[in-house]
Amino acid sequence: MMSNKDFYKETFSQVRSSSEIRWEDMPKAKSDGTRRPRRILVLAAVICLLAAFSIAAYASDWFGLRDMEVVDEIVVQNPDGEEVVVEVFTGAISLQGYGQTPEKLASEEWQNFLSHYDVDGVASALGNNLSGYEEEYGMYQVYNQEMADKLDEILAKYDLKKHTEMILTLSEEDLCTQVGGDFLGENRAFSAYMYEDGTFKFDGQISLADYGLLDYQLMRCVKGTLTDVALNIGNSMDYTEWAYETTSGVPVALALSAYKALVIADLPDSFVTINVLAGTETPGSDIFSSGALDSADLERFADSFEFSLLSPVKGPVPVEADPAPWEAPENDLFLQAAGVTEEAAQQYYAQFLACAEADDRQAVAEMLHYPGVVRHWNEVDRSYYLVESTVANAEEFLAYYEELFTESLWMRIRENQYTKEWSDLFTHGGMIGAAGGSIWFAATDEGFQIMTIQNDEECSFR
Amino acid sequence: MDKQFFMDAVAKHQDMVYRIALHCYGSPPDAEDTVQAVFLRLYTEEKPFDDGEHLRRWLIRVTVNHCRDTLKSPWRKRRVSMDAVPEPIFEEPRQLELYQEVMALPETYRTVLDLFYYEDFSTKEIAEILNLQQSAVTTRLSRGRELLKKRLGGLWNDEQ
Repeated sequence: MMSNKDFYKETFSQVRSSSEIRWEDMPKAKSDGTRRPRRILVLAAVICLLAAFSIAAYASDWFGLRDMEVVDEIVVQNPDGEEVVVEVFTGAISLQGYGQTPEKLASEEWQNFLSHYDVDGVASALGNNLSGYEEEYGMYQVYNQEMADKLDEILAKYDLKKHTEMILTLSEEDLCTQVGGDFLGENRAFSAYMYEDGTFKFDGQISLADYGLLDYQLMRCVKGTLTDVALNIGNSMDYTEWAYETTSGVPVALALSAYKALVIADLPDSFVTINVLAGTETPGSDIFSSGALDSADLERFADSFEFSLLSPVKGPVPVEADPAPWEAPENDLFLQAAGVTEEAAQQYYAQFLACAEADDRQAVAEMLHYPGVVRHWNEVDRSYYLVESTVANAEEFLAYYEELFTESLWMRIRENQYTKEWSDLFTHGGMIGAAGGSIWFAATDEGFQIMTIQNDEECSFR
Repeated sequence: MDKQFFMDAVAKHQDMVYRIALHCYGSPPDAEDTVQAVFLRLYTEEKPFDDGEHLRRWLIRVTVNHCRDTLKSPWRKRRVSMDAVPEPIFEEPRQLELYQEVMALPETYRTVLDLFYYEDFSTKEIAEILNLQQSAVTTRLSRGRELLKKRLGGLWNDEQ
């Protein structure tokens, strides 16, 4: 019987790069320095192709997907060695709006700046260090003053604001509450996040009548703010487009291609784009959908949303307003169950999270109760077992830190945060549970101490 | 950089760099971008390599670092992954099934699987390459195997 290793090699030996790496291209790529194009195009044959896609080939008042498409400048080399700049459609659409809207133009200008800037090089030079621009420009790809100046210039030119904060992992219910109503209907929303102005995105799924399961991604960009997101759609000319009015009376634009479809709603104060992961030639074996999607399916899908609830823009609820100042009730059940007030527990847990978020491992380790037992994976003779190791103090615990603070633990933590300072704490058996039960702590003679941490990988400290 | 040495390195290792980047990203276009970036980095490298294995490990390290830098960059966030990128053509359906299931795994499991099963590194060596503790590598490898076993059933052997 074939071993897993042979099976793996046999499979992935068929996965090959199609890039053309040429010695002759390297000096140019190197000498372009920090303002090099992301891709180097020198083939004379490419010029013909680019010409076919150049802006000059299309009327300027064309309105539809092409009108949303990001235009870029690319340097190409003629056979005689002369370099010329050609404007091309990039195959990516701005999710901010059509044509000449300030949001679309600003998004295009910013993305073109980035595509010709050595972002990877700047990021590599930074390594794991902070650039110092995280606080003010954290929602954008800004690593130095030149990039910050360019972003500010674009924002001023188009009179737009920049994003300042992102709220992660909103539940379906929270999302509807934040935007002002159940616009989802039968749709399911996953991995939702929202910016401070109400711009949001989520991965969605619906069981569509007479079709089946359909996966998609929805993004609403609030007008007046620059949102740095683009969507690759391939060649926009491959789409059939038509206008449609949903059953609730909202006009939308629909676009359908062989493997993708789009629903676009240009609302008064926001712009909604839904990227549907199916098209007219999607096979029945597809993992994102139930197969081929036709125009009637797409119209029924558009009908499944109540777009009118998305305007006027609402949400999110300001963080500062929640929670209300704590007041000790006369019959504090938390106090009775855990022996401490909830306010004190919240303060301690917030302090613990602050240390963990700052990756101050020593401080985190010193907040645990010792001695403890760490359950972790270990390899013995190429097999993997959960084993237990006793840790006597913070120094010994540090060796297991990464096994416990995994992505799954952070997800549990974030899912149970109302605000930075206020979490969903509960009590059981005299202890206080947090992060949905992944973290437990208690008031001891030495003050609060973390008694248990456990993650989805079955690793734990107790 | 000597031209012959460079072109030999491209011929011998381009697919390896692509494969590792593909395991990191799960996205062929991003993996191709990394191939370009890694070989440009090789072109500018001035220190000589001791031997072929030294070069191979250097390329792997540069590839992994480049992928990590890109993954944590906001640039990736703005590429909402959406294209219907064609899948490679495989000789047998079971190979396509393995490819799809590996690509559906979380990034942390994919890279370790590739380095272990394809590049033949031990967990200790993978830990050094990825700058992780060996125990973290074994955890990821174990979880990745479990998930593949669950999803592929009889196509994937139990490993004792």
